[in-house]
Amino acid sequence: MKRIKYYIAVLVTGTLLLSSCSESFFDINVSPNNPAVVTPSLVLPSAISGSAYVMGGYYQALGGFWSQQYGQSSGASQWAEWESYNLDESDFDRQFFTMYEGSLFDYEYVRNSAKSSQNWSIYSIATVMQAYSFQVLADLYDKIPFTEALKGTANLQPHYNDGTLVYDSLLTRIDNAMSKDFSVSTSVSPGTSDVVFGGKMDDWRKFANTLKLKIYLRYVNVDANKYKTQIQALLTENNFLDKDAKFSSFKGEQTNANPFYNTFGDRLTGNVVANSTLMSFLDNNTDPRKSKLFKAASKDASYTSIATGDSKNHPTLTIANYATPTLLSDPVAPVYFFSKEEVLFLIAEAQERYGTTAAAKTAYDAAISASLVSLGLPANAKTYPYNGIQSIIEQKWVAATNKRSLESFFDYNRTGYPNFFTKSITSIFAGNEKPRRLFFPSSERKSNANTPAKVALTEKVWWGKAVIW
Amino acid sequence: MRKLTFLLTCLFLVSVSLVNAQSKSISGKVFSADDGQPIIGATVKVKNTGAGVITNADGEFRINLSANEKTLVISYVGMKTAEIEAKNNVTIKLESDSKLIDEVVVTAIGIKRSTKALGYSATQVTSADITATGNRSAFNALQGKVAGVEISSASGSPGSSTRVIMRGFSSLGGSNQPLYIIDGVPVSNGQIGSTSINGGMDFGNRANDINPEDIESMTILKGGSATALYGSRAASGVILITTKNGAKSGNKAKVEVSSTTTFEAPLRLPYLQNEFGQGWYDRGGGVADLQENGSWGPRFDGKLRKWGFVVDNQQQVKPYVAQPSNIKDFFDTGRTTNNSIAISNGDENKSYYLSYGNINADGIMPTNADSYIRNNLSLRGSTKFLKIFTASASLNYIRKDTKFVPTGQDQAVLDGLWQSARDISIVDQKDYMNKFNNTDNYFTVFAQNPYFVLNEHGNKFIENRTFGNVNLEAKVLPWLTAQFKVGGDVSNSSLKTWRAIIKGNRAAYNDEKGQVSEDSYYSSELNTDFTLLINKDFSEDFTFNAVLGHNFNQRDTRSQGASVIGLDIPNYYNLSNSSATPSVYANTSQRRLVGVYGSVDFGYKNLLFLNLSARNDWSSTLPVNNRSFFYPSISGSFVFTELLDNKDVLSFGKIRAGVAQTGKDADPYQVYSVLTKTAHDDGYRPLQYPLAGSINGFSVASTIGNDKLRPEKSRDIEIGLDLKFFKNRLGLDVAVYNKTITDLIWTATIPSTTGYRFQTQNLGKISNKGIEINLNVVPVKTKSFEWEVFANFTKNKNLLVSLTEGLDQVSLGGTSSIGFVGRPGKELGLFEGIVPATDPNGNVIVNAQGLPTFKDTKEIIGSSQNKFRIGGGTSLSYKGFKLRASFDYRNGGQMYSRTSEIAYFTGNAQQTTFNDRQPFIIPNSVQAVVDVNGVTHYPENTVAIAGFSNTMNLYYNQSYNAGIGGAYALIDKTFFKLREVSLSYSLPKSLLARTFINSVDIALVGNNLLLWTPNSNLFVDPEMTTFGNDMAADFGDYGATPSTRSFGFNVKLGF
Repeated sequence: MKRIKYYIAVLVTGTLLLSSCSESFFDINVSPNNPAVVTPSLVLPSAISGSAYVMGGYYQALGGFWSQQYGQSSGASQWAEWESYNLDESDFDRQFFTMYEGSLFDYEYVRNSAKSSQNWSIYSIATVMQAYSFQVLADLYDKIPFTEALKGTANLQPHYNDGTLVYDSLLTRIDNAMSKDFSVSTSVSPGTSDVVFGGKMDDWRKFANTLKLKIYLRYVNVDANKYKTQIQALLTENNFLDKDAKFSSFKGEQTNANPFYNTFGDRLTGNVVANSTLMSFLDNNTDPRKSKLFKAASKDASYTSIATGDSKNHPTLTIANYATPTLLSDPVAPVYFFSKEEVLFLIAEAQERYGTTAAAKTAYDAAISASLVSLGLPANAKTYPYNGIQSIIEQKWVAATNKRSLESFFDYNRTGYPNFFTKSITSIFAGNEKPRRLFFPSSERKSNANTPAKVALTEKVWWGKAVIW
Repeated sequence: MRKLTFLLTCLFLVSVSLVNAQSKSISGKVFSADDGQPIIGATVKVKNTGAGVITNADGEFRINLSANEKTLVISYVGMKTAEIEAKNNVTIKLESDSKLIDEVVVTAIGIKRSTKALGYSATQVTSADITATGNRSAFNALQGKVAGVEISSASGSPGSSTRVIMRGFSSLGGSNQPLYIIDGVPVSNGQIGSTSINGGMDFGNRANDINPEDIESMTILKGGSATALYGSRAASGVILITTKNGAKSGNKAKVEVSSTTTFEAPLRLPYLQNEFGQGWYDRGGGVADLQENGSWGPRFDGKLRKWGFVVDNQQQVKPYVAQPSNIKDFFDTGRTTNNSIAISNGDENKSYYLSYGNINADGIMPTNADSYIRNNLSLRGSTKFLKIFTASASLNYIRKDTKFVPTGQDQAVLDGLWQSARDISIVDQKDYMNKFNNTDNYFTVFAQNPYFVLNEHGNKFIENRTFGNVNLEAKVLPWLTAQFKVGGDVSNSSLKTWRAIIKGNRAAYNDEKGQVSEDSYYSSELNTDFTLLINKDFSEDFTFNAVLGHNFNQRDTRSQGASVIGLDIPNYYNLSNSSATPSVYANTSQRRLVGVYGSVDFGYKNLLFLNLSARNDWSSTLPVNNRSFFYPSISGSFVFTELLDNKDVLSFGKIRAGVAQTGKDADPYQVYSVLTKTAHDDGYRPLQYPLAGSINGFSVASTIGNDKLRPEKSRDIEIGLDLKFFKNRLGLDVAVYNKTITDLIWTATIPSTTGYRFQTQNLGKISNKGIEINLNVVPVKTKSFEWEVFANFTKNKNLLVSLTEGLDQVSLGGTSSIGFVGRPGKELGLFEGIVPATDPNGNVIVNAQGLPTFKDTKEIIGSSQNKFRIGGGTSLSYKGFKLRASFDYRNGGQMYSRTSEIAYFTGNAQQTTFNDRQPFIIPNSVQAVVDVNGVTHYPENTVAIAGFSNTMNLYYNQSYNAGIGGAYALIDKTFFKLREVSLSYSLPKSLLARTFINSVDIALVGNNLLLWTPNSNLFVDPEMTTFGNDMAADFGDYGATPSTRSFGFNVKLGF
């Protein structure tokens, strides 16, 4: 009854309003459900978690399969096409568009909003994290929209930029962000909205240096001396990350867990197991990390692994017969942007190439120790001989398992190491060829006329090593 | 309720007092001179005063006269008007008048007009057309009966939606459903459900809520000329529903009872192969594998074999033979009772009508997990007062309790059925707690026991809806009537869904953490119309009518819900039963529309008629500068038979034509950009905020606002011809139309690299050209026997004429493998999928394993649109017997069928027995060989697809799609259905003369008794859909409960 009275009231008011032809009568088209403006500190976590969600989920899985840490289990076939390299443009399309319209544009929102209020700390965090994310996409796709991207309807058909241009621009942006004065009164500490470092700008300075070093080292095949001075200056300054840069705000819930655990383990169960390439390496070296990186087979407690593309050849086996990544058992495992050991491996490589071998070896040993410690093993539980770049990248590859698998894929394409990857049994490529990039995504193909022509997966990206196999 | 009773009492009091005020009266009876039957509803008036009554069900009337009034005028549609001397117990016989075909139809704004004056097509449907078989849905009952209207029922689930599309799709974004108007007031046609392929639900569209027994008549207005006065919301046609009232009962209380009971069985279950049993091709080559969900095992041999898992060192044994009816045996007989009672009384001055209807349906799924209970209560009344005023009101209350068996692929009952092997008896696993059938040991680890899903997962939907109107009319001057009408429609619904905890100890494929969700929905609509009706004839030859009106409409929606995943106490479904953070949402929307309209009609000598009308709308959903939009229309008709002297052959002929424009606004909140609470999604598992540590987050929404949005505009041209021959024994009505819609409003996909993915834009142009033909023949008509045949033909050619530059296509739905798109230059609703790669001669290129290869880009593989439709029927009446039948034939078009797709995958489809599953070479296939010069050659392929092997697996499953690509999941949509058959018998009046019963009608009824489909569809009833009740529904079916055929009986009593 109350409602009917309400209606009568609305009706009477409505008619009255109408007779006065009030414009505001129609001004009810602003959504009451969603805000039009939000402070940057409420958007920054979304941007960072967006990067973590894609990189710690599908990109982690892709990196794991393509750098032969993970394999497709028998008894299921969800990722069999990744192992046969039989992709099309719709594969990883969702990751591409969620990065651009999600994470990258949220960083952009934070940057624009923080810039206008001169809130430099949050501006710089967003700029550096956006640069980090752009680089991953540039490395996967070779060319990405950059200078014309993220402009809304102002540019509905963004052109693609070469990776080199993206790289140069990112370096400029990082330097610019870090040159800001975080002590001005308009610069407010982001606090917990910085879900990586809790607003500690010193840590972000280290992150920025580390990211720059990672970017510089991509040039080794194309213009090795282009940033030699800058690399040496960074090594001298030696202000790199000395801890993990990670996103760990997960809960052990179905709507809120580590994306790799959630999608690849809990939802699409029965698919991801240990790859023989990595398992053999660990076995041959009696590496104690084996039982930390992989969980023994549930059926017989063995560390059975599978070679890339071998899944259909064992009709009687299922995931219960194989060792599985421990990442599949931890719903709140963090997603790493850099791990402590990865930074040390980067330093080792930079020292080897642009500094001293002695310093390189020191960093290399420290990196292996850091990897052991991070897995709950004693720092000296295992040592490996130092053998220059090859040993650095091999060890980086082992340490990257479950953490930074996509970086192993990039390292392989950049250095050709580890040089013992097997040929996928189901590979659709000739000889020992392997994928070196992704296809330009189908959503772009359909909606952006400036999407470049299709390029074969076996074509290296601009910084890739010319000949690997 | 107390108020309701009070109102009812008031109406009674009014009636009584008015009756008492009249003193002197005479009575009489009106018959038809043709067949001697009483005429119901004939108008009896006192000459020169206008006071009058209507004859009752027995043709009787009683009228009051003053002493000086001596003459009565008796008239009835299609009969010659008679004047007689007023005396008591008079008997009047009316003669039929073939010259004067003056059918009156209800048109826009409730104005009754003679059909001959209409410049457009308006189809009137009567109560008998709707209620003959006791269908719960007034619209399902119209299937095949009206040209130009496509009516489809979504599934066999009780209470499921009905889709009504008139003259093709005229909108991409908004609704293509007609506007439903009940007694002059628009009502909601909202639908609550989900089209997800992981648990779709359909709790029916609200137009189906109305009790068919309450409907007096319906007018179907298809074109713009007919609907222009209704404005924006009528762009897809209007269905005007006039409900019954007591005015025709002639002051004798009338009680009508109708009771129908029907029994339902699946209309179409897939025809599956019965040659091969359980197994999987890549698991040891034709060897039985006892945990598989398909029939790729060895050929049946009849020998006793073990099956299922070993449980407690025991294993079951059965003969290895096909179970041809294992799917059919799973289903139960559905049962529907449809009872209603109506009490009415009144005359021209006052009336009331009270009705109650109850539908109780339990569908064909075992258990009552598919059930629908609907209660309708209606109350209407009207009275004249203070000489010039008429007040009327209507109140309708509807309560629905629905349970729906979810569709789709995730923990769905049908998915469990399709993923069974041909030798497994499903019904034997009904005891899902039995150790061999439970979630641990159900014979396949890849699917779930359907009985478990039916019994342990569930949902419950409840809706309370009230709609009605209050109308005040004043006859201010003899030629001027003012009317104010307020209508409201409010629905409150709640939906609870739950899933049980499952932890299988063999495999985790079907594990569930347990979930429960509670949703509530509110929607309301408030509508007012103020109209001035002018009716002034300048002379005998020139008639003039005009309408001026003001319309206000406001629609509000609110929805909120919460869900948790991960339950602690098993079988306890409450939001509190979880440690997980609930996912919550709340949304409201509001929109307002104001319209001012006017219409004038001129008539000249029953020969020429002209109508001009115009409307201006102001909508809150459009940007300020584009908020107001104006659209005019003009139509006319020429009754050329008025110029003929001899009308024995051509009794009536009319040419009509009209041109109309209509505008349409957008949905709310498309103009400005917003941010939304953050949730990342990879299509499988999301990451939702808040994050651990109570961190909240917002993200820029993926849709960017558009402050330049304009209204959609449609322009409609219609020409028609209406002919009647041999004193109406043969009738032909032809309509040709061309409807063009420009500035289509739809969500365009923009490159994500802009930072957004979507924008609502004015992005294209659609046209619908079509022809509709209605034919009516009465080949035999004698005093006791009449045979009538009717048929209609509809052809609509839909075309997406153009899209804005840069857009190659628009996405209209679909799945990741099969797209549902619109492309310029083609009709809407095309299927897009992968296609085999071919050499220049069109031969399929295969790979080294002999399997087909596919092109890089998806191509159009089919269209969802019918080429034409034919409907029709017949009725034979002999004395009290009447046999009615109607059919529906739709030709052309395709649909996606999940059933087809999964039947290939599981090896249950008949097609998978091709070549006895022995190795075969794809006919006319070639290999692609590149020579040293880089030139590609296409030698004939000699590599066979191995039988019982991995390649056979790949060939039939989603990787190679039976060699034809995406098209393998499409089936032909052509069908013929015997829609309705009823055989009724009316007890002779003479038999009932001494009882208190007025009429008894008993009938045997059947719905959808026969379905024929071409050989290319061995799977489902092509009318079914799981994708809502608008354009996207044409995509097809993702596992809906099979549609049903029903048999039953119906009793109608009149007191």
